Amino acid sequence: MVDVIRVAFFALLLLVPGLIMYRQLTRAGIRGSAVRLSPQQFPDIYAVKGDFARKLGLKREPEIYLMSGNGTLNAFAASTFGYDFVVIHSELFSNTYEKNKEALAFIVGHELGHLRLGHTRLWYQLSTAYVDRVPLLGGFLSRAREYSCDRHGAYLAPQGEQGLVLLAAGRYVYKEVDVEELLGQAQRFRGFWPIVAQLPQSHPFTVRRLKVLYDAGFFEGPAENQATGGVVTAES
Amino acid sequence: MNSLKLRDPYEIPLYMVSVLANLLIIALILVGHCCLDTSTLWRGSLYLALWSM
Repeated sequence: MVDVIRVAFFALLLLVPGLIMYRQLTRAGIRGSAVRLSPQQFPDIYAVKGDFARKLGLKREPEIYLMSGNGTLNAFAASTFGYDFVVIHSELFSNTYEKNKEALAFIVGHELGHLRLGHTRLWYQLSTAYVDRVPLLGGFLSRAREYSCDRHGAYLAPQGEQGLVLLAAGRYVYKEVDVEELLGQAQRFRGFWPIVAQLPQSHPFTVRRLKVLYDAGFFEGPAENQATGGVVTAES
Repeated sequence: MNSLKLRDPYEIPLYMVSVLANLLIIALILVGHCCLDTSTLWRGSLYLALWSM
């Protein structure tokens, strides 16, 4: 026990410099291994990022990078001293770049939401540094953050529900997914085990994210109709 | 742009609880460390007292 307290104390002393070092090293690694987008390098996505950053009123123009995720569909936002940046895995749009700009716009908007809400700031990460290790609470907070950023994505890309469908079905077949049917699946996704299965996750289940956005009115189309007892119907 | 609408309604309350939990954990570590030092001090004083006798 004595050793545990000693280790925890020294870890606490090292928390700030350690976190600063980790953030700086992350950016250095990204700069060295990912492709930085510019008006010449993937100009469409770069323009989307600039447009969204202006709409969100971001104080700093974020950088945006593209990198291989080795098969993982992911994107993330991060900050260091003086810089904000977004990294997108190329798996999110390889082979289908021309066809899924809305999906990609949703994902870029989601990541810019993390920047706007301060989730990547040093003070924010310090203020929740230990909570990520607290069972349940860390997960609840993380999922609430993701819901907030989904709202940003949907606000900036109103046709971007395909971004979530892409995460659920993968880039090869997501265009063939019936979104209305998927919402029906989300409607039926309730009960004890779904709640328990969700508890340790840092991100909400994708079908639930989709449904939450429809219910909040960010996307038009199929949505829960309370008047019909929760049956999913198409809105006009 | 409606900022309130763009944030999940549970995020702020959860963040506040998380900050409190974070502070509590830090406080426990600091208090634990101080107690550790105090007990070390006590032990040292006791050894010193015994030795001086």
